[in-house]
Amino acid sequence: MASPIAKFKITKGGEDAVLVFTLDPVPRWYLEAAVSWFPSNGSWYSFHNQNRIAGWNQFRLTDSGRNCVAEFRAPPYHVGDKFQARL
Amino acid sequence: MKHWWIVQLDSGEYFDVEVTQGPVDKKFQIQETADLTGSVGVAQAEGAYLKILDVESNKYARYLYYAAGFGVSVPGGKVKVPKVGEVKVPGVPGSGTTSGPWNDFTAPGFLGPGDFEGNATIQTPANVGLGTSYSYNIFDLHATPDKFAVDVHIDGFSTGHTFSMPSSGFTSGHLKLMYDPSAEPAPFAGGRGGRAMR
Repeated sequence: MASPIAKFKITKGGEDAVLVFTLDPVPRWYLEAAVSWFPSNGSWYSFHNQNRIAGWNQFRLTDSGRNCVAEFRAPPYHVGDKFQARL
Repeated sequence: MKHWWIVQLDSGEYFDVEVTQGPVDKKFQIQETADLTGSVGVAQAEGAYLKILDVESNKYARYLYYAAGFGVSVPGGKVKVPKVGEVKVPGVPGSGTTSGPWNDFTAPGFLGPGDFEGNATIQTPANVGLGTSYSYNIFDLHATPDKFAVDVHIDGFSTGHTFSMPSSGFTSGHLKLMYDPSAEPAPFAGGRGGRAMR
């Protein structure tokens, strides 16, 4: 298994899990231990969104069926950063 | 979550995230090998060649920075020089800068020297010009939007000798990869192995 490039602790309703990101050979993510409110693995990508006024970056997790699982604020990420994400 | 033009209809549930382990950083260096600016009034266009070196692997990638912005410079004119008299100094609508020294920065260790394409800005609050290397520059880059993006900020970005009148300016544009050392040579391309343009 590829070595992790980052780990996030995710919490909802008092139930938490550790989300692990890997890169090689392709971008993947998985949970160290399963929780009821989040899928167990999938892939991730970062993309640029643009409208007529502004452009911004977004970071998205998809499940194994390529369905959007969650969206995070755009990288870069630093140890200790805390923010909210959306399912 | 639904998206409708510029309005995002927020129908998702929120959860808390804390970054507990970030990417391990490694050392990179960036060098401006040549820079040209041209200006009309205060409008300015800038093109520069840069190299980014992965210090660990000693491999570098070449980039083109192209940008637009604004700048002001001391106008040319007549200057009184003792014992010589009045000398006319031509005002030049632009500048040229020679190759400068390497500038250090750090970025996530999984990145290679060819992973720094992105939006960039160069601010030059003060540039003495006149063929000297005395200038104060700030370089900012938001790179690799398709990976874990990285922000590079170099306050005091060193460049080479600049041939222009004293000036100040700002440009915003894009850093485009011209040569990536990790790219495989095209089959039967011949020439120098490992060189590839994209």
